[in-house]
Amino acid sequence: MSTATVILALVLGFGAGMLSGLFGVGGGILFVPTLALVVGLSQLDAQATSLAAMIPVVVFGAWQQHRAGNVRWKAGIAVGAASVLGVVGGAALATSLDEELLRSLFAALLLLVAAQLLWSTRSP
Amino acid sequence: MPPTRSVLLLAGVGVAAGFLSALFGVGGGVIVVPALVLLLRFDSKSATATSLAAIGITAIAGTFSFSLFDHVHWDSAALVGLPALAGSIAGVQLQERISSKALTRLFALFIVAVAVILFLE
Repeated sequence: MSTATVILALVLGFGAGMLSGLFGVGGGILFVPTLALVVGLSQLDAQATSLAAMIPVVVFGAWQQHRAGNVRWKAGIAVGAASVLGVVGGAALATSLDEELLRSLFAALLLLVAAQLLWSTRSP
Repeated sequence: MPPTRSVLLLAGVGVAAGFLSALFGVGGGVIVVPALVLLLRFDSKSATATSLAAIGITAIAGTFSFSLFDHVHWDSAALVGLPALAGSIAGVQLQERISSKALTRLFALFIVAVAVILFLE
C-alpha cells in the first residue's frame, strides 16, 4: 500500500465516520466503496473488512446511547442474536456469488439507501 | 402487542438484518431502524439506539464468519475504522448544530454518484 493510499484511506475513513454520525446511516455503505476503490480489495474482501471496520464505531455509539438511556436492551439483544442466523446465510450467499454481480448488487443497495434518504427529507 | 408476537417480529427483523449485513458488508440499520419504528412502535431515538446495540452483535458475528475464510483484511479495517470512530464523534456533534434537508439531499446525490462509479468499475 502506497503512502498516498494510506492517507486517502485515513481521510475517507474519517469522512465515512463523520457522515454516519451526521446522517445516521451506517459506515458500511461508505467503507465498502473506500476499501474496494481506494485500497483495492476485491468486492467480497471489501465487504468482509467493512464489517470489521465498523465494530469500533458501532460499539462506541451503542455505549454512548446506553449512557443516554436510549437502548432497549432486551429488543437489541433479541435482534442481534437472531441476526447471527441471517449472517450465516448471507455470508454463504456472498461467498458463492460472482464478484461483479456482488458489486452491482451493492451499487443497487446504495441507490435504495439514497432513495430512503431522499424520502426522509419529504415535506410532512 | 402480545409478547410472543413481539419476540417473533424481533427475531424476523434480526434474521433479515443479519442476512443483508453479511451479504453486503453493511450494518443492517437500514432494515432494523424502520422495522422497529413501523412494526414495534419504537420512537426514532430508541430505534436508532437499539439498532446500534443489535448491529454490534451482527458486525462481530459477520467479521468472525468471514475471518474464518480469510476475507477480513485487519490492517485495512483499522486504517478506515479507527479514523471513522473519531469522525463519527465529530459527526454527532455537528448534527446537533446543523440539520438541513439540503445537506441530506446532497449526501443522497453523493451516494448515487458512488453507485454509478461502482457500476462502471
